[in-house]
Amino acid sequence: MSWWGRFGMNSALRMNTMTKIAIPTWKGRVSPVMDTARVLMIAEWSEGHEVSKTTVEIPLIGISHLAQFLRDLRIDALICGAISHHLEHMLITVGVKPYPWYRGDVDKIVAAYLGGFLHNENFLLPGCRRRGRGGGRCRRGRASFDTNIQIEEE
Amino acid sequence: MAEDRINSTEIILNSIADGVFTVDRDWRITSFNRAAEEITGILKDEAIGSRCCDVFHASICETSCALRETFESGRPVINRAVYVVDADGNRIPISISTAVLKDDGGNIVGGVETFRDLSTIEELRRKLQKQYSFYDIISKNNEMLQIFDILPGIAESDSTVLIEGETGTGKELIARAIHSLSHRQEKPFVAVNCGALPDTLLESELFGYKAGAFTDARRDKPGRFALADTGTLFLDEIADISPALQVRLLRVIQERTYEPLGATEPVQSDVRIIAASNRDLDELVKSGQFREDLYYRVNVIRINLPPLRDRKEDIPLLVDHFIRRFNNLKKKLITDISPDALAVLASYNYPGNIRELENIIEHAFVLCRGTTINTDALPESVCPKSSSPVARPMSMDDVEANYIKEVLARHDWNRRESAEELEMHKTTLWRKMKRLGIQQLDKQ
Repeated sequence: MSWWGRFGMNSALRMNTMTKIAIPTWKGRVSPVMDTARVLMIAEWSEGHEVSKTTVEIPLIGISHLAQFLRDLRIDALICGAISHHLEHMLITVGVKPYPWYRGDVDKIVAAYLGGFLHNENFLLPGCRRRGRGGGRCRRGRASFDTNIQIEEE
Repeated sequence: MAEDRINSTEIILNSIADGVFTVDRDWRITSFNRAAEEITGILKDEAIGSRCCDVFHASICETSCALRETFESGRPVINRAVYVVDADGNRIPISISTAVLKDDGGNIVGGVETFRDLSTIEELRRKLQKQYSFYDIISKNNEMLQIFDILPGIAESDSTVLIEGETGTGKELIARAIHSLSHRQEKPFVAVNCGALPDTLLESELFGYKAGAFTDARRDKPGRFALADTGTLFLDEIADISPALQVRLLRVIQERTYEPLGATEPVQSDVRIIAASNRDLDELVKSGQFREDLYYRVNVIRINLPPLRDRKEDIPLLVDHFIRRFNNLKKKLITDISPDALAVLASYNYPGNIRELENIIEHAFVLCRGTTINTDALPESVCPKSSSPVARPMSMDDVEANYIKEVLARHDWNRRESAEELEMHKTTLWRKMKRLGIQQLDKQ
């Protein structure tokens, strides 16, 4: 069974809408730093079904152009690792919703996003868990997902 | 006993100001000192056991990890400038050094990375950069700084200005700075390259014409003097205009009036004129190629711009400036230039001055594959790709020696005068000459 099939789907995907998410990838995992990532995995879902999945090379460009690049790809949401707040703000400005400070295998991250348990502690980068409780960077842009799901240690 | 040793190592690591962490062969962090916690914003307890890239978030993690390079080559990396994204999303400039960790049997068991926060140094560098830039003109050369000092006064005066300097030294930038600092700043700045147009065209370009002035003149066309009215007119390469046009120009400057071609009435002109030349107008006056009376009218205030070969201290600042500019223009992400490539640029003579340096960096942007400009991205005219095995990149000592020799040659090997230009004591100069093996050619 696919990862998203084992758990409940993200509410956004239960609706009859097309969702396009992007994840910067490196060796099958989420790239450590979005600002310098080189490859982007882009996947589209409609009514819970994967419609397409591609990878594109990210050109060596400055962060303002990087935000434009993602906007031109019509990305709805970007799940990534560390990100400078400057780039994060640029993404919000151009209409791309960032879900930053994640780590782990890309497939598992995708499944977690679709299943609505992306903010499970095991997917958060070190430093996030501590800050996530009291505020700080990890609460920014976070959706209210179900947390009662145990995931194997990343 | 072993526990005591571990404790004392930890105390030592925690007492130093540089961040230090170690990894095992699986890239998992095995130790993380207090400075590392402060710089990254991540606690030791959270860092230990995590992959180093999930903790360190460095700009090079994915593309050119220094620890991986050290593992593969066995050689340490020393003081490489990169940045990390800290736990709050701030980009922190750091310099990193790496080395391998070996067990008693000499087997590699992991690596160590030390890193230093360069935020304060970077801040100072930015402040210096700001201090050394003046309306898009960048320099820390004494002669240029003196020009920066007098430009506001010159701008205020509304007098005619003559800017002399070799091609590519930034004459138009100076003219634009004067305009921007003057009370005419809201009015037009119009630039004309007098050398680019034949005489007849230049005349109608400058003064305009009335309908019917010549066969194709179907309607009035305002000239550059009219377009620049109440603003500033920049006449570049003024030495190239014909004697006939020199007379007309003299009249405009003297009487503040001119007549468009085919006009019967003179037109009042309220234009500040800034002229520029890459040729020595003094010499042209002496040889009769430039009118003396026009020369004195134009030469009310004179600014001489030094060529780039006489202000080589500006090369790093200018390179930095052009890298940032081309990153924006060409949507690229080049961060710096390698020391070898910078040494090559510092030893070049620049007949085309700053414009040539700009072109060199643009050329490097096309060829540069990574984020650092290396010698292989420089044009062959600057960095010959010699197949000869004797060719080697210049060291900083070579560059320093060449520069000192140049200054000494300019002052006929007078050490006191040379030391003054180099802004060092003559004893320091003597010591440097001795260390670098510099001797006057006829005394060798």
